[in-house]
Amino acid sequence: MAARKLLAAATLLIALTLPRFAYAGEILVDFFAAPGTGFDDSTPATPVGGNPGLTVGQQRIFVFLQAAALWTEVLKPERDIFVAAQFTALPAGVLGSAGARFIWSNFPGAELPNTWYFDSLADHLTRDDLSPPTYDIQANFSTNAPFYLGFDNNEPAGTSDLLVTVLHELGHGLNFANAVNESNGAIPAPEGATEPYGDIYSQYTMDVTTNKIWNAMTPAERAASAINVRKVSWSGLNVKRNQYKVLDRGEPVVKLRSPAGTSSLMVGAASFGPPLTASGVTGEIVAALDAADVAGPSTTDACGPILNDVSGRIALVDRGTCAFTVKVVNAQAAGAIGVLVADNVVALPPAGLGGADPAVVIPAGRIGLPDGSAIRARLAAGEPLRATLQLDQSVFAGTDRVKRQVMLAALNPVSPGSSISHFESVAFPNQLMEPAINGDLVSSVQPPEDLTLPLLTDLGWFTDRDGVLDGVDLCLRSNTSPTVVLNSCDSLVPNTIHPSGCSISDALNICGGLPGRAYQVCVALGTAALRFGGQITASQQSAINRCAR
Amino acid sequence: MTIPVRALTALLVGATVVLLNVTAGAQEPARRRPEQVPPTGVDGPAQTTQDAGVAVRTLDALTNRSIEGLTFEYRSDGTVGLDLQGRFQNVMLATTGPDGRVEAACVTEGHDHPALKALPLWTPSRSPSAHRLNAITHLPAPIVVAAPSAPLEEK
Repeated sequence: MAARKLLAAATLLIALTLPRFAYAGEILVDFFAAPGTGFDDSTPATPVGGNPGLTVGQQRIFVFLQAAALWTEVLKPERDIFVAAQFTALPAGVLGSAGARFIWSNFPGAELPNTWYFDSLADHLTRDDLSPPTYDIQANFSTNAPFYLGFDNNEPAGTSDLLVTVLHELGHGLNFANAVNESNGAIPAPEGATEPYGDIYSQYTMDVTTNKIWNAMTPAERAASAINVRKVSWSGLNVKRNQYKVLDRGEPVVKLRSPAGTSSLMVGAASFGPPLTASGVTGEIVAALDAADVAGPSTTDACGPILNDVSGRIALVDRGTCAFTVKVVNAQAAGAIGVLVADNVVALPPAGLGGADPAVVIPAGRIGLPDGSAIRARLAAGEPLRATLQLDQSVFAGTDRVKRQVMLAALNPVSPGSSISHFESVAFPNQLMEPAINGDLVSSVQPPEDLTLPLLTDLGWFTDRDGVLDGVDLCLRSNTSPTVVLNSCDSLVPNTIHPSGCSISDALNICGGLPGRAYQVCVALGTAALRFGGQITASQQSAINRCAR
Repeated sequence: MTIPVRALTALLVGATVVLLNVTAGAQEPARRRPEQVPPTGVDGPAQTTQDAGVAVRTLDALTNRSIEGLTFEYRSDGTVGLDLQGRFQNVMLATTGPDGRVEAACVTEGHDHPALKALPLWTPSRSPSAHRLNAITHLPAPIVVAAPSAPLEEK
């Protein structure tokens, strides 16, 4: 009973001391639970990492509320967003699932015709609840998963950070996902539709090989683009504006050199050992050989002591049987200066190498199966190969090499539910909406840590309803008054919106704050430019200038 | 806009009294705010998995991006809707490495993961009869948990 009072006092204190939301809507969570389980689990718990719950069920609830509050605070939704949440026993290995219940198109407030929006964003844009009987987002998490329930992102080994996981899943429900079937490129279209349908996420999904956005593609083109690894990126303006505030310079690569020429291979960096550097480590590649024994059935898996000379060289080993750290330690013990682990399945881009071992002092990375096989073939043919395992400083970690836009996760083979609807895994610092929940994530969805909010901004969460899509709108919070008003003087000149998304008032707003005469000169120059550009007539120019006096 | 703490307190206390009186015995929970279950659990009947409309499906169903069998909804103002019926979901999987570290990722290993063959598809309705946990009828005070006043501590 004392504990109950304590919690009640604590929650009341939270309600009293924290700022109230000032906008129309919030993200609201309904908690479903079978008696004694999930959110109703009364197993006593000690407050952890800022989570004040005194039972396991309470702590789970507080995590969801924290995530909902964080999203509410940054999104400021026009309408309440309803989330149904439950914790149930899911099969081992499944942390949870989430997604939108409905998608909508051609609703009042939709900025593009024949374009799907997820429930939550559609409600926000139309300022109505389009599906009152159902939840906008459904989230189902596992009571069997080892979740860390603190708010401080300090999860111990063997657990997953529930707060970050919930933030990620809610992000998908907020439209950080498309409505495309990546296997065949199809986008849902109503029966009898004469025009092709798109979705708002695909409006900014660009293939930098073809220079086409997904909404402008045929289904076959989308299906091909979905597996165009590291060639699909986000074209929205708000992500572009923020990407250099968030991402670090340097993409892990293997530069391969031989008498035949130079090439660059994708590589997944290791989570152990020294980080890759700009100068990197350079050496001759040699295929490492070990015994085919109980430690590993292959002579190329490096699960046992290396038998051939790899000293001073970069060892090529195969994935499989033993931990990545074991392979690298074995190569290191034989004198290798670096390790390339060739994948044993076709999966591009190559994932990183997981694990931890403080004994590792040489760099390592994973290359794709096709690249590994090609290197082995060239070595077998006697071709001398040198490699540099390094960070390529010519690009930012996570941007493509053509348009310099933040990449989306084009995966080969395609992975429904994962392909495209995430940032590319090579992004660094790690991003909330990468396919994997990385242990170094913090509970942030916006710059300088994260690019999720800029992407949602492109989708329309902060639209000024000026008729220009937010992902190409140079003036996101336009002055959209019907006429140009300066100093409370209505010039009666129509405040037209330029295709850039900026109104005449936006253009003249740059003069705001200048003292008297300087202000008048600034407005005069501005109106002259507008007239020169054909935006206003001579009489309108005069009318605006009069108001500036 | 900043509301004086005393005024906010008075408003909150007043609202609490009103809400406790109004919602006692109410059939439909006032579910317009983030809510919290009572500290000691549920007093009334809670949502069961059957009530919640759980159906057992495979991962293929959850991440299914086919619209076969789904129904479009047409409205007089031109709005078109599509009830995804639990499809198009994002599923988070966890794998434990040999060193004990848990790696979590949205479906990346294809559909043959043995753990996924009995994943429940959950499509609850916002119906008044749903026995959702309703904080208003249980808590001494309704709460709105807002974002923390200070940034969360980073690692």
